[in-house]
Amino acid sequence: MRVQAGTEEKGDVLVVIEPAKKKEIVIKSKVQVMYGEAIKNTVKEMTKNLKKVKVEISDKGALEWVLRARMEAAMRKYRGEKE
Amino acid sequence: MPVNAVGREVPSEINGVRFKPFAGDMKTPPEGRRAGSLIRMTPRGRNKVVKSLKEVIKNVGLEDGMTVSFHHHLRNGDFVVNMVMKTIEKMGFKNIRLAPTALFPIHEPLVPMLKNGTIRRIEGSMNGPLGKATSEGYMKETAILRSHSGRVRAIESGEIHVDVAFIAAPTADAYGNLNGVDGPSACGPLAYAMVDAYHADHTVAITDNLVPYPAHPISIFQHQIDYVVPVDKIGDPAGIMSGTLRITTSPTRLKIARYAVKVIEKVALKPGFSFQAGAGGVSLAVTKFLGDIMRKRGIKASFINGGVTKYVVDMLHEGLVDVVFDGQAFDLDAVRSLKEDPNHIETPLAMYGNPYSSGGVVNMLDVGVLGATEVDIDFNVNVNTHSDGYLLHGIGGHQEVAAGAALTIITVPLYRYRVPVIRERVTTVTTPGEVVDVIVTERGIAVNPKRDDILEALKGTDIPVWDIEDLMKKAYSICGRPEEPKTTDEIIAAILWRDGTLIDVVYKVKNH
Repeated sequence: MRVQAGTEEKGDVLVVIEPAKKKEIVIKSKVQVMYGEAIKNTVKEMTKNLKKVKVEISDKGALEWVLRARMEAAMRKYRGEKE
Repeated sequence: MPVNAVGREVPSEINGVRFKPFAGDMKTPPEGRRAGSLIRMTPRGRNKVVKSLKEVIKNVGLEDGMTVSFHHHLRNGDFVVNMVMKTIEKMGFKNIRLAPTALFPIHEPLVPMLKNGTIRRIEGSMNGPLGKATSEGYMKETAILRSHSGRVRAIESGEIHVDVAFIAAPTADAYGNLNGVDGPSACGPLAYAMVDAYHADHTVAITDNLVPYPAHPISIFQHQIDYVVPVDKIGDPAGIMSGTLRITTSPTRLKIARYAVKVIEKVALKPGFSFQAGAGGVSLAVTKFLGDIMRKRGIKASFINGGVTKYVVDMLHEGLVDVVFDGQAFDLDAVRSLKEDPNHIETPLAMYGNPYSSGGVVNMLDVGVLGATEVDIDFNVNVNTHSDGYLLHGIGGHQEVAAGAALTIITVPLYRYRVPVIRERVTTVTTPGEVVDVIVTERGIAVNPKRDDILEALKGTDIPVWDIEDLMKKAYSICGRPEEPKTTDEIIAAILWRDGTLIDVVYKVKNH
């Protein structure tokens, strides 16, 4: 099932998780040059126990804690927790 | 490459022309005499009105490689640059040097002309798409950016020789008297274009409001204008005027404005003081809050230099300030006031802040409040490039206001979204820390260590005073430390200090 958390507003991030044949992380960020690596590391670390998923990040300059909160929300939805 | 006074490596030659490294403000004395223009003759009865741009371009004898100039009073509502440049392109001219005061997103149609060789380089401010295209390497030669006053200096000294000045004129008569206060595309002053009218070999006014002789009031006079071309529309009023500018409602920005006003109140507020106003959200709030304090304490200012908006005009008409100097009008209230109030004075850009003159308005400023894209721990300011390395903005009057004003305040948020504004090192130096006094953020302020007097004056206030390095650490703790932009070693633009020395260069970005 495809789930998402967050928005595409400035300062926020949209996280989309869906099943896939193998694990894939796609990051699009307005601050790619300055924080692309940092975002990738955060997402990798938070999803280290997830397999066979595609994680798509559309970032509009969200702070680290915003990214972590959106990731956590998306992962809980993906695991089927009630909203 | 030599290292300049702000520690940046700069080449000694750009586009085959020698430039000195920046040595500090007022450290490089001028040389030589002012440059002139072609002397022309106009017998009685000659008709200056020409029906088409094509015809006028033939009449002035435009050639490949020549320099053409424009002003930007019509801002993002300007039609004139595009219509002239498209005509030039269609007529097959190549390698034109474009020397506008500034270009905006509306001028994106010029991007293909960088690629097809119509334009070899732009010497002027590029806000948006043209800056982006330049950053990605599409300009054949190296762009040169100057401040408003730096451009005046360059034209006066012959560093830029303008072959043809195309001057958008909201009102003109058939003999070339021009103003900007009347007509459907009214923009206020024509201050930016005055130096071009005086120093260009050929001058063409382009108007959508041809009035009976003599047009009046007169900003640019008939003896400097060779041709007048009537067109349907020179601009879109919605892009020329900003509409009713609103004071920011962001709590962060309001807090910045309140801290800035507090600093002004403690350090510089006295009867007859003067300040520089702007149109940004924080600037408007500063102007308004300052007005409130002046009213309460019965203090009157001698002049406001602008960047004129309704807020400035209201202060003039309320009697809170004696004179408004106007180089640029942002709304219709400002245009109307310029037309009707003799104490609202249009100032030629040459009077503004050219260091190589007998003294500009900025030398008389007590307070300048300016913005920034980035500020570093040496108080250097960047307004030209974003933190990802893209060149996206011009210098405006930033350099001369900072250099001239007795108290220079930079108002910035600590970070914008995830990008720290206070950094270890700015991506590009526009204005050196030596002319910057106070950085104001929503968390508090940092004072340039060489201004003990300011620290002393602020004792006993409730404004948090920080060491600038601690402000940077605070920003990095919230955002994380930013990675440096990925650039190549190819220089795509030179940033000149107002005296024509090289303060920094901008490199082509990688992997776009």
